[in-house]
Amino acid sequence: MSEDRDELIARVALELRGAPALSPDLDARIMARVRRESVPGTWRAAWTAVRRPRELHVSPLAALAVAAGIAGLVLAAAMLSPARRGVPAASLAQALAPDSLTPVQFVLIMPSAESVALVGDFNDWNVGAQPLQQASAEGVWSVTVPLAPGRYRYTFVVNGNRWIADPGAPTTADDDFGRPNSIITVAGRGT
Amino acid sequence: MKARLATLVAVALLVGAASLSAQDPRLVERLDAATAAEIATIVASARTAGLPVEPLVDRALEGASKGAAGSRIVAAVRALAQELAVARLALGAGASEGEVTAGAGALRSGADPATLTRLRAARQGGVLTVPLGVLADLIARGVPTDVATGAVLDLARSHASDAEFVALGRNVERDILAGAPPAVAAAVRARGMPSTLPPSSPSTAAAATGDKGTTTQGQPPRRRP
Repeated sequence: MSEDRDELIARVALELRGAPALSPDLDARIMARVRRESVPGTWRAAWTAVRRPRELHVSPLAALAVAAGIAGLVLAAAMLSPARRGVPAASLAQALAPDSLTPVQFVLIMPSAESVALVGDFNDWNVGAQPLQQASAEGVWSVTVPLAPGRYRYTFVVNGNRWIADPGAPTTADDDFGRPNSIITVAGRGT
Repeated sequence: MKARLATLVAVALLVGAASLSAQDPRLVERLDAATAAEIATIVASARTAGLPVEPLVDRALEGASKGAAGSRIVAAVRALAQELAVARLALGAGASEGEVTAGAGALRSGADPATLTRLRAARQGGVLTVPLGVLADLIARGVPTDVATGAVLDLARSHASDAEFVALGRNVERDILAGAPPAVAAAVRARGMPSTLPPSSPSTAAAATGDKGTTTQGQPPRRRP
């Protein structure tokens, strides 16, 4: 009886020791599953890592250095801006959107003038920026300026010191500086 | 404590850098230091409020070119900044810089903020820069504010183009120069009626001095259908 039981136990043990039959593509299927799940897992881990609050220890000197660096970048950007480089606003506008500019001819008939300049919102009120050319011996002075749609204030400067509003245009009510300006409203091309 | 002090110094450095970058070189070149600094402060405040700043710089440069005193330049720029703010409020937060600038000009001419709001409603989806400019031009020409406002609003409601607004202003101007009362000229042109006035002649002021001026835009205005 005891021998029979020992024999039964020995058979069961032998059966249990044997390796079970496995599918030949089991390894490939497991690795494919692992690869499929590893990508979102990585992103999730990264997202969790960047959202996790951390305590930073920065010395006052390092904080000042960082601030000075940022301030330097701001200043450098300002130094490299077109306005600081002295690019005229009109030419900048022309470079950006040439199709949106309308050529506007300014004319002054003044036989007694020796020189006429145009100053206004479009040229920084710079007396030397836009001189008028004498178109005829009868004292017809003119200049053509490309302008974007909008309303502009301007005036003529005759002989370098006499400021006169355009006799053919309305004058502004905002006479802040004691010398009247003319106004022109420019429509865009095809609008 | 040290860290807090360092933070304060860092913030001060950043603000200082921002202020320096806000100093327009044109102001520094053409105004005295004190005036340039005051203008820069107004410009910085306007920029923070989302207002256009180029008109403010232009006004300061105009004052400099005309030899105005610094205090007068500052007062003019400050007044313009306030008008820009009122115009922005009346036209809505989505108004472009050109619209806000033109709106300020219309306010200065005598239009009231409610007119700007009504014009926005009348020309929904359209740009208001030119209509507002024409409104200011009409008032500057002597057209009563209510007549000018009515003419521009009517045109806006009829979906007129910018060129048609400019044509309205030019026609009214021509009629006034020919001798028509400004209110009549604007009312007639606003109704689209052909003028029965004689051909244009030089203005009285121009004739008195013997000087004449004119401006011509490259694009001829289109007629309304």
